Amino acid sequence: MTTTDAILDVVDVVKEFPARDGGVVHAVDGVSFTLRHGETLAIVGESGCGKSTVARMLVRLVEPTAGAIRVDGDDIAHASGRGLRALRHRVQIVFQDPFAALDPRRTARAAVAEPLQIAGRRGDVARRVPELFELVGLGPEHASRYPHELSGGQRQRVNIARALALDPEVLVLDEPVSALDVSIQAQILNLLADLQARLDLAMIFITHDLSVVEHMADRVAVMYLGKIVETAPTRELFAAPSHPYTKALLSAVPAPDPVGERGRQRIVLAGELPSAQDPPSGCRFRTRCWKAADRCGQEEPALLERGHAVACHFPEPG
Amino acid sequence: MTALLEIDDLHVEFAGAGAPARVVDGVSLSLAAGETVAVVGESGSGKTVTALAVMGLIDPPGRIVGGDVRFDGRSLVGLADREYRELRGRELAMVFQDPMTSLNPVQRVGDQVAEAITVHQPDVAVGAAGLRAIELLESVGVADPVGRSGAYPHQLSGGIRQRVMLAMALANRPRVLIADEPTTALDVTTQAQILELLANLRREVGLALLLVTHDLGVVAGLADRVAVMYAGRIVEEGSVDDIFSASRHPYTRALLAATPRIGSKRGSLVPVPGVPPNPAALPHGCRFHPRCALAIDACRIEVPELEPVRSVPPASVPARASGPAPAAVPPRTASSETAPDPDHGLDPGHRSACFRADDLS
Repeated sequence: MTTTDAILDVVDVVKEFPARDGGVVHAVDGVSFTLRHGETLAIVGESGCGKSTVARMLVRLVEPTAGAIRVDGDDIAHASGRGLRALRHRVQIVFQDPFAALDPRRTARAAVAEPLQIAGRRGDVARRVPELFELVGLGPEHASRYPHELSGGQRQRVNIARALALDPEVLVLDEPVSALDVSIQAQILNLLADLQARLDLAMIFITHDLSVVEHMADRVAVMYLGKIVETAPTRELFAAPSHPYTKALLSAVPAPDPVGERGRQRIVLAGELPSAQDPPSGCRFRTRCWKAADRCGQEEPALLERGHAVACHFPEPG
Repeated sequence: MTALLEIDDLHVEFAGAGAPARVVDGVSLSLAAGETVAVVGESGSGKTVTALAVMGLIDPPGRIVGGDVRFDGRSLVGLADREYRELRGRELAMVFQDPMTSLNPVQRVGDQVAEAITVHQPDVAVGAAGLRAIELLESVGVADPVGRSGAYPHQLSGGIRQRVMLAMALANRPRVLIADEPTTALDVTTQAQILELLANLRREVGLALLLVTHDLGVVAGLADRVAVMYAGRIVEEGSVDDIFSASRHPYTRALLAATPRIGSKRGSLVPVPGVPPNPAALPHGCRFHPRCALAIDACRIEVPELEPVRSVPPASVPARASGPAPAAVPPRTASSETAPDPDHGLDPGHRSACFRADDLS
């Protein structure tokens, strides 16, 4: 793919954190992907896989140790000062906990106006804030409320309105519905899908919950221990997972269907996630993989196109 | 099946600045040995408070203001603290969502499991309790139980901490285990391990499990019966199949339609409009009516009681009398052939609190 139709181009980013004992935690270890205009890419994986670190690097809340993150060709990983501020307007983030993300002493109106004020667009506040409220499905009556006077779903709408205030081209959503009740979750997922269609936004949707991915994403990247192990168009990934980890992950999701659950063969992975401070040699998943052979310990599998991209020496037949 | 645990018309209130909040409002539920009953609901439904009331763990400003909880026929409400402590951990045990806040951060996990034994069995020597703790850790699938028993909680992963909690809960072979969102804080592959463990425990030792959760996927795989709670009341109760494939309550149906699942199409999620009510200012009538598409005038005025659903639609009764039964109508008992029976076609195991339940069949 050429970079001309890509709004976001992430090239071999690495993030290392110092460990308490003087070692190094390899949180993200060489991750590359592109995001096209108007596309939604889901990044899925379990705790410790590095997905949230990737999200934070995209908005430069975390400095990448190495690699490039280009927004329409401009490198956000190495920008500073005015250039960084301009790039930050173009990529915005919404976090998991809508309450923690809001200042308890600011009303919903003040929270949504803040990004405009910081960007020096005070004159736009009176026009833009009511527009944003309407866009995210909040009524004018919510404007004067404080976060504790709003429900969880309403708070997340305020956060989404804030993130949209500066007309970003890319919206990064880090577990945006994980803290919400099921009946509210669907409201927010439908709102996000609607916003994407109306605003032609590109989205990075970070989640541990595979059951929401099909409702949001065009493509999926699966991460394990700091690396992407498989990436594919959503339908393809769900229909024919190729990496054993993806397969295990999909099989572990409990379905709200008692008949299906009774007849189901679930892949229960043995053992635990290895430490990101001392990852296994070769393939990182091999310590929990039922297909692992000698080669997996010696040679790290590259992310290769085999119908779609998978990093495995013994991929499942598609 | 005779009930091992019976919750009978339980009412729990929490005092606040204004009127007390009725967080649990007339909940009745029973659990038999070897049975798994799931209490399902969203935040604020009263499911966790119900579980805590069974364990005698409601602290002020909360208070049980009515009803009873019986274990093996014995009434527990109003039991002295000392007697409740004797029961808790020995006959009734509970595991919570977040094992990190339930474990002592400055005590080795092996010692915590051993203590759970010696508290109830003081004649067990410390050394023997330590060995038994290691056995227990092994039985709940902790690899390297000897090494792990010397670790502190922060040195362990979330999945191992939840296993340690289970080992403590099972230390005295309780007959009832209450699990409050036991896998919600865990990753999905770890969740699969813990769910498998719970299913095995129930099969192998006949444990009665009261599963409290918001996750319908977990319920579908583990529960025999399900009680759906909304705003402090059970709105529907039935077998797991009744609830998932033949629900007779609009809230249960709405919850299922809003639940994302693998393989469903984009745009197919149907959100439930509005938000759950504030327990200190509950709506009149059915508490779900402001969010319900089927609400009629009666729903705004009267609170519907939990009643058996009609498994045969009333309209089919006269048809049966005059000709051969349609294949879909289940055979009737002899008595119903001779006399009109007001309870005809009622399914005592499947109950719904909705005036429109018949319209949902």
